[in-house]
Amino acid sequence: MKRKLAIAAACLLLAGCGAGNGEIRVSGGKPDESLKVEEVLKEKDDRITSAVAVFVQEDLLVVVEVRPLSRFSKAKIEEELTKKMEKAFPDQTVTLSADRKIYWETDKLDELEEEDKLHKKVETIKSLSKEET
Amino acid sequence: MMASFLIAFVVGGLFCVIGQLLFDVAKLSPGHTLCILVVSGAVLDGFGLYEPLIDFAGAGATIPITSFGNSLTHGALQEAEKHGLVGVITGMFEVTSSGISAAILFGFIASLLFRSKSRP
Amino acid sequence: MDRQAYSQMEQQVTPKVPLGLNLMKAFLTGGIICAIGEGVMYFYMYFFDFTERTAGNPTVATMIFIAMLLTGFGKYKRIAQFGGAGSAVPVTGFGNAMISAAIEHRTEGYVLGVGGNMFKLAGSVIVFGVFSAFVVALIKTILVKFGVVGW
Repeated sequence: MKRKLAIAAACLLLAGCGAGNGEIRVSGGKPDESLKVEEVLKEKDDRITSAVAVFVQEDLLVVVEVRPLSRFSKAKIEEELTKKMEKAFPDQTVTLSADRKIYWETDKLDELEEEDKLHKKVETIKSLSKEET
Repeated sequence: MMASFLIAFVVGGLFCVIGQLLFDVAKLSPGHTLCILVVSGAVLDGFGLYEPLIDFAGAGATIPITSFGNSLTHGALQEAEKHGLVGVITGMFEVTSSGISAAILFGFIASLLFRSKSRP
Repeated sequence: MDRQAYSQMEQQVTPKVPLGLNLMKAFLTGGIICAIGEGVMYFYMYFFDFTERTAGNPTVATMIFIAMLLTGFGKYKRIAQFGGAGSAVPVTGFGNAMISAAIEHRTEGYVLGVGGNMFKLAGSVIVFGVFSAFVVALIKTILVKFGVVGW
Protein backbone atom coordinates (compact mmCIF):
# COMPACT_ATOMS: atom_id res chain seq x y z
CA MET A 1 0.00 0.00 0.00
CA LYS A 2 2.68 2.47 1.06
CA ARG A 3 4.88 1.58 -1.88
CA LYS A 4 2.05 1.99 -4.36
CA LEU A 5 1.20 5.36 -2.86
CA ALA A 6 4.81 6.41 -3.12
CA ILE A 7 4.94 5.38 -6.78
CA ALA A 8 1.70 7.19 -7.52
CA ALA A 9 2.98 10.30 -5.79
CA ALA A 10 6.22 10.17 -7.76
CA CYS A 11 4.31 9.83 -11.05
CA LEU A 12 2.15 12.79 -10.15
CA LEU A 13 5.15 14.86 -9.24
CA LEU A 14 6.85 14.16 -12.54
CA ALA A 15 3.68 14.77 -14.50
CA GLY A 16 2.78 17.91 -12.56
CA CYS A 17 6.12 19.62 -12.87
CA GLY A 18 6.16 19.35 -16.63
CA ALA A 19 3.12 21.56 -17.09
CA GLY A 20 3.47 25.22 -16.19
CA ASN A 21 6.70 27.10 -16.62
CA GLY A 22 5.76 30.68 -15.96
CA GLU A 23 4.66 31.50 -19.45
CA ILE A 24 1.59 32.50 -21.37
CA ARG A 25 0.87 30.22 -24.27
CA VAL A 26 -1.84 30.93 -26.82
CA SER A 27 -2.76 28.60 -29.64
CA GLY A 28 -5.34 28.30 -32.37
CA GLY A 29 -6.02 32.02 -32.72
CA LYS A 30 -5.03 34.80 -35.07
CA PRO A 31 -1.86 36.72 -34.11
CA ASP A 32 -3.69 39.84 -32.98
CA GLU A 33 -6.04 37.76 -30.85
CA SER A 34 -3.22 36.04 -29.03
CA LEU A 35 -1.61 39.40 -28.35
CA LYS A 36 -4.86 40.58 -26.87
CA VAL A 37 -5.07 37.55 -24.57
CA GLU A 38 -1.56 38.18 -23.32
CA GLU A 39 -2.34 41.82 -22.72
CA VAL A 40 -5.37 40.98 -20.57
CA LEU A 41 -3.49 38.37 -18.57
CA LYS A 42 -0.36 40.50 -18.06
CA GLU A 43 -2.28 43.00 -15.95
CA LYS A 44 -2.60 40.47 -13.19
CA ASP A 45 0.88 39.07 -13.64
CA ASP A 46 1.91 39.03 -10.00
CA ARG A 47 -0.81 36.59 -9.01
CA ILE A 48 -0.60 34.30 -12.03
CA THR A 49 2.39 32.08 -12.66
CA SER A 50 1.41 30.69 -16.04
CA ALA A 51 -1.50 30.58 -18.43
CA VAL A 52 -2.73 28.67 -21.46
CA ALA A 53 -5.34 29.94 -23.89
CA VAL A 54 -6.83 27.89 -26.70
CA PHE A 55 -9.14 29.11 -29.45
CA VAL A 56 -11.42 26.38 -30.78
CA GLN A 57 -13.98 27.68 -33.28
CA GLU A 58 -16.30 29.88 -31.27
CA ASP A 59 -14.91 28.77 -27.93
CA LEU A 60 -12.09 30.37 -26.01
CA LEU A 61 -10.62 28.34 -23.20
CA VAL A 62 -8.34 30.17 -20.80
CA VAL A 63 -6.68 28.48 -17.87
CA VAL A 64 -4.40 30.18 -15.41
CA GLU A 65 -2.20 28.91 -12.64
CA VAL A 66 -2.54 31.04 -9.56
CA ARG A 67 0.42 31.59 -7.24
CA PRO A 68 0.02 29.25 -4.24
CA LEU A 69 -0.30 32.06 -1.72
CA SER A 70 -2.86 33.90 -3.84
CA ARG A 71 -5.13 30.90 -4.03
CA PHE A 72 -7.27 32.31 -1.21
CA SER A 73 -8.78 34.65 -3.75
CA LYS A 74 -8.95 32.07 -6.54
CA ALA A 75 -12.68 32.52 -7.06
CA LYS A 76 -12.31 36.30 -7.20
CA ILE A 77 -9.45 36.15 -9.71
CA GLU A 78 -11.50 33.82 -11.90
CA GLU A 79 -14.44 36.18 -11.82
CA GLU A 80 -12.40 39.28 -12.62
CA LEU A 81 -10.53 37.65 -15.47
CA THR A 82 -13.67 36.16 -16.97
CA LYS A 83 -15.24 39.60 -17.10
CA LYS A 84 -12.16 41.08 -18.75
CA MET A 85 -11.91 38.26 -21.27
CA GLU A 86 -15.56 38.52 -22.17
CA LYS A 87 -15.11 42.22 -22.72
CA ALA A 88 -12.08 41.66 -24.91
CA PHE A 89 -13.68 38.84 -26.92
CA PRO A 90 -17.41 39.49 -27.19
CA ASP A 91 -17.83 37.01 -30.06
CA GLN A 92 -16.28 34.08 -28.23
CA THR A 93 -17.76 31.86 -25.54
CA VAL A 94 -15.21 32.35 -22.81
CA THR A 95 -14.47 29.58 -20.33
CA LEU A 96 -11.93 30.62 -17.75
CA SER A 97 -10.67 28.56 -14.88
CA ALA A 98 -7.88 28.45 -12.34
CA ASP A 99 -8.51 24.79 -11.55
CA ARG A 100 -5.53 22.46 -11.83
CA LYS A 101 -7.51 19.67 -13.46
CA ILE A 102 -8.87 21.96 -16.14
CA TYR A 103 -5.40 23.39 -16.63
CA TRP A 104 -4.00 19.94 -17.34
CA GLU A 105 -6.81 19.05 -19.70
CA THR A 106 -6.56 22.29 -21.65
CA ASP A 107 -2.79 21.97 -21.80
CA LYS A 108 -3.25 18.61 -23.51
CA LEU A 109 -5.64 19.99 -26.16
CA ASP A 110 -2.85 20.89 -28.59
CA GLU A 111 -1.97 17.25 -29.13
CA LEU A 112 -5.40 16.47 -30.53
CA GLU A 113 -5.64 16.83 -34.28
CA GLU A 114 -9.09 15.60 -35.29
CA GLU A 115 -11.83 18.16 -35.26
CA ASP A 116 -14.61 16.10 -33.62
CA LYS A 117 -12.36 14.80 -30.90
CA LEU A 118 -11.23 18.29 -30.13
CA HIS A 119 -14.78 19.53 -30.01
CA LYS A 120 -15.84 16.73 -27.70
CA LYS A 121 -12.93 17.42 -25.38
CA VAL A 122 -13.78 21.11 -25.26
CA GLU A 123 -17.35 20.25 -24.29
CA THR A 124 -16.10 17.97 -21.51
CA ILE A 125 -13.82 20.67 -20.18
CA LYS A 126 -16.62 23.20 -20.23
CA SER A 127 -18.99 20.91 -18.34
CA LEU A 128 -16.24 20.10 -15.83
CA SER A 129 -15.62 23.74 -15.12
CA LYS A 130 -19.31 24.32 -14.44
CA GLU A 131 -19.67 21.48 -11.93
CA GLU A 132 -20.36 22.56 -8.37
CA THR A 133 -18.85 20.84 -5.38
CA MET B 1 2.93 21.24 -6.89
CA MET B 2 5.26 20.76 -3.93
CA ALA B 3 3.92 23.97 -2.46
CA SER B 4 0.38 22.61 -2.40
CA PHE B 5 1.48 19.57 -0.39
CA LEU B 6 3.31 21.82 2.04
CA ILE B 7 0.32 24.12 2.41
CA ALA B 8 -1.99 21.13 2.97
CA PHE B 9 0.42 19.83 5.60
CA VAL B 10 0.64 23.12 7.47
CA VAL B 11 -3.06 24.01 7.35
CA GLY B 12 -4.17 20.49 8.28
CA GLY B 13 -1.60 20.47 11.07
CA LEU B 14 -2.85 23.78 12.42
CA PHE B 15 -6.42 22.45 12.61
CA CYS B 16 -5.10 19.55 14.66
CA VAL B 17 -3.15 21.92 16.90
CA ILE B 18 -6.40 23.76 17.62
CA GLY B 19 -7.95 20.40 18.47
CA GLN B 20 -5.06 19.52 20.75
CA LEU B 21 -5.33 22.89 22.50
CA LEU B 22 -9.01 22.20 23.15
CA PHE B 23 -8.01 18.78 24.53
CA ASP B 24 -5.18 19.90 26.76
CA VAL B 25 -5.85 23.51 27.72
CA ALA B 26 -9.65 23.64 27.76
CA LYS B 27 -9.81 20.02 29.06
CA LEU B 28 -12.59 19.01 26.73
CA SER B 29 -13.46 15.45 25.80
CA PRO B 30 -12.80 14.35 22.20
CA GLY B 31 -16.55 14.41 21.53
CA HIS B 32 -16.87 18.04 22.61
CA THR B 33 -13.80 19.04 20.64
CA LEU B 34 -15.07 17.50 17.43
CA CYS B 35 -18.50 19.11 17.91
CA ILE B 36 -16.91 22.53 18.42
CA LEU B 37 -14.80 22.10 15.29
CA VAL B 38 -17.78 21.00 13.20
CA VAL B 39 -19.87 23.93 14.42
CA SER B 40 -17.03 26.37 13.72
CA GLY B 41 -16.72 24.94 10.21
CA ALA B 42 -20.42 25.57 9.64
CA VAL B 43 -20.16 29.13 10.97
CA LEU B 44 -17.07 29.87 8.86
CA ASP B 45 -18.96 28.82 5.75
CA GLY B 46 -21.82 31.07 6.79
CA PHE B 47 -19.38 33.99 6.49
CA GLY B 48 -18.12 32.57 3.20
CA LEU B 49 -14.62 32.00 4.54
CA TYR B 50 -14.27 28.24 4.26
CA GLU B 51 -14.43 27.94 0.48
CA PRO B 52 -11.43 30.24 -0.04
CA LEU B 53 -9.60 28.16 2.54
CA ILE B 54 -10.33 25.02 0.50
CA ASP B 55 -9.10 26.81 -2.63
CA PHE B 56 -5.95 27.68 -0.72
CA ALA B 57 -5.13 24.50 1.14
CA GLY B 58 -6.91 21.73 -0.78
CA ALA B 59 -6.94 18.57 1.29
CA GLY B 60 -5.57 20.52 4.26
CA ALA B 61 -9.02 22.05 4.56
CA THR B 62 -11.22 19.19 3.29
CA ILE B 63 -9.76 16.43 5.46
CA PRO B 64 -10.23 17.98 8.95
CA ILE B 65 -13.69 17.45 10.40
CA THR B 66 -14.45 21.18 10.06
CA SER B 67 -15.10 20.56 6.37
CA PHE B 68 -18.03 18.40 7.44
CA GLY B 69 -19.81 21.40 8.94
CA ASN B 70 -18.79 23.44 5.93
CA SER B 71 -20.26 21.05 3.39
CA LEU B 72 -23.50 20.68 5.38
CA THR B 73 -23.94 24.44 5.40
CA HIS B 74 -22.80 24.74 1.82
CA GLY B 75 -25.37 22.24 0.59
CA ALA B 76 -28.09 23.98 2.57
CA LEU B 77 -27.12 27.40 1.23
CA GLN B 78 -26.88 26.19 -2.35
CA GLU B 79 -30.36 24.73 -2.20
CA ALA B 80 -31.69 27.78 -0.37
CA GLU B 81 -30.38 29.94 -3.18
CA LYS B 82 -32.51 27.96 -5.61
CA HIS B 83 -35.64 27.11 -3.66
CA GLY B 84 -35.79 29.56 -0.79
CA LEU B 85 -36.29 28.57 2.84
CA VAL B 86 -37.38 24.97 2.17
CA GLY B 87 -34.01 24.35 0.57
CA VAL B 88 -32.28 24.87 3.90
CA ILE B 89 -33.64 21.52 5.08
CA THR B 90 -33.62 19.56 1.85
CA GLY B 91 -30.19 20.58 0.64
CA MET B 92 -28.18 19.79 3.72
CA PHE B 93 -26.94 16.33 2.85
CA GLU B 94 -26.58 17.04 -0.86
CA VAL B 95 -22.85 17.66 -0.61
CA THR B 96 -21.88 15.85 2.58
CA SER B 97 -23.29 12.48 1.68
CA SER B 98 -19.96 11.00 0.60
CA GLY B 99 -18.31 11.27 4.01
CA ILE B 100 -21.19 9.86 5.99
CA SER B 101 -22.16 7.18 3.51
CA ALA B 102 -18.53 6.08 3.25
CA ALA B 103 -18.21 5.92 7.03
CA ILE B 104 -21.43 3.89 7.38
CA LEU B 105 -20.56 1.58 4.51
CA PHE B 106 -16.98 0.93 5.53
CA GLY B 107 -18.02 0.60 9.16
CA PHE B 108 -20.43 -2.15 8.25
CA ILE B 109 -17.94 -3.87 5.96
CA ALA B 110 -15.34 -3.69 8.73
CA SER B 111 -17.75 -5.34 11.15
CA LEU B 112 -18.09 -8.20 8.65
CA LEU B 113 -14.37 -8.53 8.00
CA PHE B 114 -12.62 -7.82 11.26
CA ARG B 115 -13.01 -9.19 14.75
CA SER B 116 -12.62 -7.14 17.86
CA LYS B 117 -9.24 -7.77 19.44
CA SER B 118 -9.90 -6.35 22.86
CA ARG B 119 -12.73 -8.74 23.68
CA PRO B 120 -13.02 -12.47 23.01
CA MET C 1 -12.43 11.49 50.84
CA ASP C 2 -14.60 14.11 49.25
CA ARG C 3 -14.65 15.08 45.63
CA GLN C 4 -12.27 18.01 45.92
CA ALA C 5 -9.60 16.04 47.65
CA TYR C 6 -9.94 13.32 45.08
CA SER C 7 -9.51 15.68 42.16
CA GLN C 8 -6.50 17.22 43.88
CA MET C 9 -4.94 13.85 44.37
CA GLU C 10 -5.73 12.91 40.82
CA GLN C 11 -3.90 15.95 39.55
CA GLN C 12 -0.86 15.09 41.63
CA VAL C 13 -0.77 11.50 40.54
CA THR C 14 -1.33 11.92 36.80
CA PRO C 15 1.95 12.66 35.07
CA LYS C 16 2.23 16.14 33.56
CA VAL C 17 2.39 15.93 29.79
CA PRO C 18 4.33 18.77 28.19
CA LEU C 19 1.92 20.84 26.14
CA GLY C 20 4.43 21.85 23.48
CA LEU C 21 5.36 18.26 22.70
CA ASN C 22 1.70 17.27 22.42
CA LEU C 23 0.99 20.15 20.05
CA MET C 24 4.01 19.22 17.98
CA LYS C 25 2.88 15.61 17.72
CA ALA C 26 -0.66 16.64 16.81
CA PHE C 27 0.67 19.02 14.16
CA LEU C 28 2.86 16.35 12.63
CA THR C 29 0.23 13.60 12.63
CA GLY C 30 -2.55 15.80 11.31
CA GLY C 31 -0.26 17.36 8.76
CA ILE C 32 0.89 14.01 7.42
CA ILE C 33 -2.70 12.75 7.17
CA CYS C 34 -3.69 15.88 5.24
CA ALA C 35 -0.65 15.62 2.97
CA ILE C 36 -1.63 12.02 2.17
CA GLY C 37 -5.12 13.33 1.48
CA GLU C 38 -3.64 15.88 -0.91
CA GLY C 39 -1.87 13.03 -2.70
CA VAL C 40 -5.14 11.08 -2.98
CA MET C 41 -6.81 14.23 -4.31
CA TYR C 42 -4.17 14.61 -7.00
CA PHE C 43 -4.65 10.93 -7.86
CA TYR C 44 -8.38 11.47 -8.42
CA MET C 45 -7.79 14.66 -10.36
CA TYR C 46 -5.15 13.13 -12.58
CA PHE C 47 -6.73 9.79 -13.42
CA PHE C 48 -10.44 10.63 -13.22
CA ASP C 49 -12.65 13.51 -14.25
CA PHE C 50 -12.61 15.35 -10.95
CA THR C 51 -11.78 19.01 -10.58
CA GLU C 52 -10.30 20.60 -7.47
CA ARG C 53 -13.83 21.38 -6.38
CA THR C 54 -15.26 17.90 -6.86
CA ALA C 55 -12.24 15.82 -5.86
CA GLY C 56 -12.89 16.45 -2.16
CA ASN C 57 -15.72 13.91 -1.91
CA PRO C 58 -13.91 10.82 -3.24
CA THR C 59 -10.84 11.88 -1.26
CA VAL C 60 -12.80 11.85 1.99
CA ALA C 61 -14.28 8.46 1.12
CA THR C 62 -10.84 7.06 0.35
CA MET C 63 -9.38 8.41 3.57
CA ILE C 64 -12.19 6.70 5.49
CA PHE C 65 -11.43 3.50 3.60
CA ILE C 66 -7.80 3.74 4.71
CA ALA C 67 -9.05 4.41 8.24
CA MET C 68 -11.11 1.21 8.01
CA LEU C 69 -8.04 -0.86 7.14
CA LEU C 70 -5.94 0.74 9.87
CA THR C 71 -8.71 0.35 12.44
CA GLY C 72 -9.38 -3.24 11.45
CA PHE C 73 -5.76 -4.24 11.82
CA GLY C 74 -5.50 -2.36 15.12
CA LYS C 75 -2.99 0.20 13.89
CA TYR C 76 -5.12 3.30 14.32
CA LYS C 77 -5.00 3.00 18.07
CA ARG C 78 -1.24 3.44 17.97
CA ILE C 79 -1.51 6.48 15.73
CA ALA C 80 -4.05 7.92 18.14
CA GLN C 81 -1.73 7.30 21.10
CA PHE C 82 1.01 9.22 19.38
CA GLY C 83 -0.94 11.94 17.65
CA GLY C 84 -3.74 12.81 20.06
CA ALA C 85 -5.93 15.35 18.33
CA GLY C 86 -3.82 14.93 15.20
CA SER C 87 -5.53 11.63 14.58
CA ALA C 88 -8.97 12.66 15.88
CA VAL C 89 -9.56 15.89 13.98
CA PRO C 90 -9.16 14.61 10.39
CA VAL C 91 -12.09 12.65 8.99
CA THR C 92 -10.07 9.48 9.52
CA GLY C 93 -10.72 10.00 13.25
CA PHE C 94 -14.44 10.32 12.57
CA GLY C 95 -14.27 7.15 10.47
CA ASN C 96 -12.26 5.39 13.16
CA ALA C 97 -14.85 6.24 15.82
CA MET C 98 -17.64 4.73 13.73
CA ILE C 99 -15.71 1.73 12.47
CA SER C 100 -14.24 0.71 15.81
CA ALA C 101 -17.69 0.96 17.39
CA ALA C 102 -19.06 -1.26 14.64
CA ILE C 103 -16.33 -3.87 15.11
CA GLU C 104 -16.55 -3.77 18.89
CA HIS C 105 -20.29 -4.34 19.09
CA ARG C 106 -20.58 -7.04 16.48
CA THR C 107 -21.01 -9.71 19.13
CA GLU C 108 -24.36 -8.12 20.03
CA GLY C 109 -25.69 -8.82 16.56
CA TYR C 110 -25.85 -6.85 13.37
CA VAL C 111 -29.05 -4.91 13.94
CA LEU C 112 -28.79 -3.98 17.61
CA GLY C 113 -25.02 -4.20 17.94
CA VAL C 114 -23.51 -2.83 14.76
CA GLY C 115 -26.43 -0.75 13.57
CA GLY C 116 -27.29 0.66 16.97
CA ASN C 117 -23.83 1.46 18.26
CA MET C 118 -22.14 2.73 15.14
CA PHE C 119 -23.30 6.29 15.76
CA LYS C 120 -22.65 6.25 19.49
CA LEU C 121 -19.59 8.52 19.27
CA ALA C 122 -19.97 9.92 15.77
CA GLY C 123 -23.65 10.68 16.20
CA SER C 124 -23.04 13.83 18.24
CA VAL C 125 -20.84 15.20 15.49
CA ILE C 126 -23.58 14.63 12.92
CA VAL C 127 -26.30 16.05 15.16
CA PHE C 128 -24.38 19.23 15.99
CA GLY C 129 -23.14 19.57 12.45
CA VAL C 130 -26.62 19.36 11.02
CA PHE C 131 -28.16 21.63 13.63
CA SER C 132 -25.49 24.33 13.34
CA ALA C 133 -25.62 24.13 9.55
CA PHE C 134 -29.39 24.57 9.75
CA VAL C 135 -29.11 27.61 11.99
CA VAL C 136 -26.35 29.22 9.93
CA ALA C 137 -28.12 28.59 6.63
CA LEU C 138 -31.41 29.83 8.05
CA ILE C 139 -29.89 33.07 9.34
CA LYS C 140 -28.06 33.67 6.10
CA THR C 141 -31.13 32.96 3.97
CA ILE C 142 -33.22 35.37 6.03
CA LEU C 143 -30.50 38.03 5.88
CA VAL C 144 -30.36 37.63 2.11
CA LYS C 145 -34.14 37.89 1.92
CA PHE C 146 -33.97 41.23 3.70
CA GLY C 147 -31.12 42.31 1.50
CA VAL C 148 -28.56 42.70 4.27
CA VAL C 149 -25.94 40.48 2.64
CA GLY C 150 -25.48 38.81 -0.75
CA TRP C 151 -24.91 35.10 -1.42
